[in-house]
Amino acid sequence: MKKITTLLAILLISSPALLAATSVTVANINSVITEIYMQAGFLGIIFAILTIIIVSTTDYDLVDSRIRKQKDVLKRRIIFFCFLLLLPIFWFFMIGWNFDANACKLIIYNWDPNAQWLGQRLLSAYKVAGTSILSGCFIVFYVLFAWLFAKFSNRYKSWIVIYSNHKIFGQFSLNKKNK
Amino acid sequence: MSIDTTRTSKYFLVCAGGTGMRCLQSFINMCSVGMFAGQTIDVLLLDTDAENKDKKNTENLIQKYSKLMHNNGESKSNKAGEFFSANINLYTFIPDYSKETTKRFTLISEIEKGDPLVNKRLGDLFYEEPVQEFDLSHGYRAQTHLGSYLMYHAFIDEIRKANSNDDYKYSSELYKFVDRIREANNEGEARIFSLGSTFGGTGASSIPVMPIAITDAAKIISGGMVQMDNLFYGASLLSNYFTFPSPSDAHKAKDGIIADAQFFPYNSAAALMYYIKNQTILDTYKRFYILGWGEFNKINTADYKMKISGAKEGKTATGGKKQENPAHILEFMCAFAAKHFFENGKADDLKTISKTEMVFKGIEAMSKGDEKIPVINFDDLVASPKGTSEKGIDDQFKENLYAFMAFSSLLQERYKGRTENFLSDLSTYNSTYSLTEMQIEALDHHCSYFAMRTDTHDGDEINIPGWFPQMWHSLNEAPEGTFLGIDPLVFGKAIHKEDAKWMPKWHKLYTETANDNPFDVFVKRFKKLNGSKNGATYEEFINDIRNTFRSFSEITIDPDENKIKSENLEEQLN
Repeated sequence: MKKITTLLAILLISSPALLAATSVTVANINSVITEIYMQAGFLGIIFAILTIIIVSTTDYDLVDSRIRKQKDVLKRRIIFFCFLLLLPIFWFFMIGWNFDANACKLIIYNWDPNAQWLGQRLLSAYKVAGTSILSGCFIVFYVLFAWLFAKFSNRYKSWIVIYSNHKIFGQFSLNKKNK
Repeated sequence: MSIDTTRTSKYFLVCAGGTGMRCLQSFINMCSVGMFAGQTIDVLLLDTDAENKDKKNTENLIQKYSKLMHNNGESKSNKAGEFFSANINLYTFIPDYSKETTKRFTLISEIEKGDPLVNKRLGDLFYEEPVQEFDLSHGYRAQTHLGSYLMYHAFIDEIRKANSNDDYKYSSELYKFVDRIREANNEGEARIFSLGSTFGGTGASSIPVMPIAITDAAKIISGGMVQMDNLFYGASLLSNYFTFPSPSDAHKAKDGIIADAQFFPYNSAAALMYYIKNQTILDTYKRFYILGWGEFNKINTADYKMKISGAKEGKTATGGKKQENPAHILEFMCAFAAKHFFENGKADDLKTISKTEMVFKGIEAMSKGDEKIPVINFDDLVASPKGTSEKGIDDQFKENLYAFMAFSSLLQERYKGRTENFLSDLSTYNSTYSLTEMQIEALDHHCSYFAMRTDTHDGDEINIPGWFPQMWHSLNEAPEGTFLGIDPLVFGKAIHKEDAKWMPKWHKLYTETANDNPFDVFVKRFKKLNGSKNGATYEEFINDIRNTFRSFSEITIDPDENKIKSENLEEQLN
């Protein structure tokens, strides 16, 4: 089941439907930008789910602290932060850079000079807002799904990444007594 | 240890001698795994050998148990409840034979006073000279004719002293125990069950005189004003089931009188003859549970110790600091006999019993060559009354026993018995429990005692099987499935050279944990069932652990299937 879900997620990410080419005009610029935001958001959700699946494959570890420290929570956090860092970088460079390198040339050479601002807005939507939305969605939906999994299906592995030892990331307590 | 006098009990247990101590350990463990939930049992520990290691272990076990017991159990006889939910009050009585005036029969009897010659002749009528002269500080050394006399004397003497002196009364635990029996008699019912052997010294000496001694003592306390009609006595008659090498000639010459295992079958036979024929016994005891080991191989305690320690030769210890024998299933059966006596039959029915009822049951056996191997099932220990629709007490007990063994072994395997470190790991997963240092220490001790502990022997750290695996060892490493249907790996049998010796493999108890990473499976289930907790109590912790393990499917190995498999394999090889 886990393998199928992972495969499905990868297929969705690489789906041409997500990155389908569209002609941008003044009339549809706003909807295209919204689509870009949605694309980023959707990708954030998919990667949040994918991360939850991956962190859930790491086994719980019961081990005497005198022998070595528990490592499973650390492993899950590394996976989470790797995704959190690599995802915007991947988006920024792969999509943004690609756009910059290829699409911008088209904008400069082929576009009506009066419509070049469309290209600039698209570029900004991809590079700045898209990256932020992707990261934001990834974090928000990871936390949301992890909490939902913990609350309603008693699966705690992904939630422990965020909240362990009754502290946020095992470090920051909301309760003054626990500090 | 402090005694809870706020809870009234109608169950009284008298445990006498080395075997009685080990039977009591079995009884405590039975309570640890949820029997007698919500009930109170008063236990009198009776021994003559103050330094006996079995006695020390038992006292230690009860002290730790008292720190773990709680009142959360639902009081039902056919229900296995939460761990440690039975309340046990311990009372100890050890006749002092260490003084210069009490260390021999001749000194206690003051044979030199008055007319020594007449006194000696009278003494000689009953006892041989070596019996009159041996040192009593290591117990009665299988001399039950002397032991019974001395035990009754010690009992009555103690109560008289306490009755005449308020300070002494306050410090006398025997007085308190008998007084509780007297109270229970007045309230309508007191069931007193004696645990001990028929073949040794203190136990075999105490069982015959116990009803008379207790009744007379209670009469002394009440000034003979109250009829002791509501006292019901039962006992287990445990015949010889273990052996040890005969003491050397030098040892015999040094001690004069010494227990010798080669005479245990004769001692048992003689005692049983006495029990079934003596009218006083038949009038006072309501029920006897007769337990023996028949044709099955008996564990040699010296061989066992050598096997565990790796030593090349063992020394016979018949008393003192070194007398520490492995647990045996018969001792566990004695504990269940006590349970049966306490919970079966109404007081009015017991009153109608005019002559001792003898209770016994047979157990299944398998042949392996010339050897007969006992097959022990859970319903040999405890069985539900026929026709009950609920899950049988044997199944409930099985679930609890598996769960406790699994938990205790997990602690050993992963944390070297440190509950604190286990709690710390659970806390990482947002399951935080607040246990006091005393509870943690007691739990560490109890779980190590139950599953496995480590000890240093000749500078090397070795694993010593705990109480439960010891029973498997006592059956000469029972073949697969013949001991409660449990895989021998659970008791620490090693399959690979690199396996830690005698480390219990608890994951072989359950289908879910047998193949996958058992720790991951455990934590997943633990979290699923119990969720996250912050500052939960000790009672919640114990209950959460129990519920988690009980939710798994137990593996039960069918010894017959196993036998068929090995027979087929042999045929193929031939």
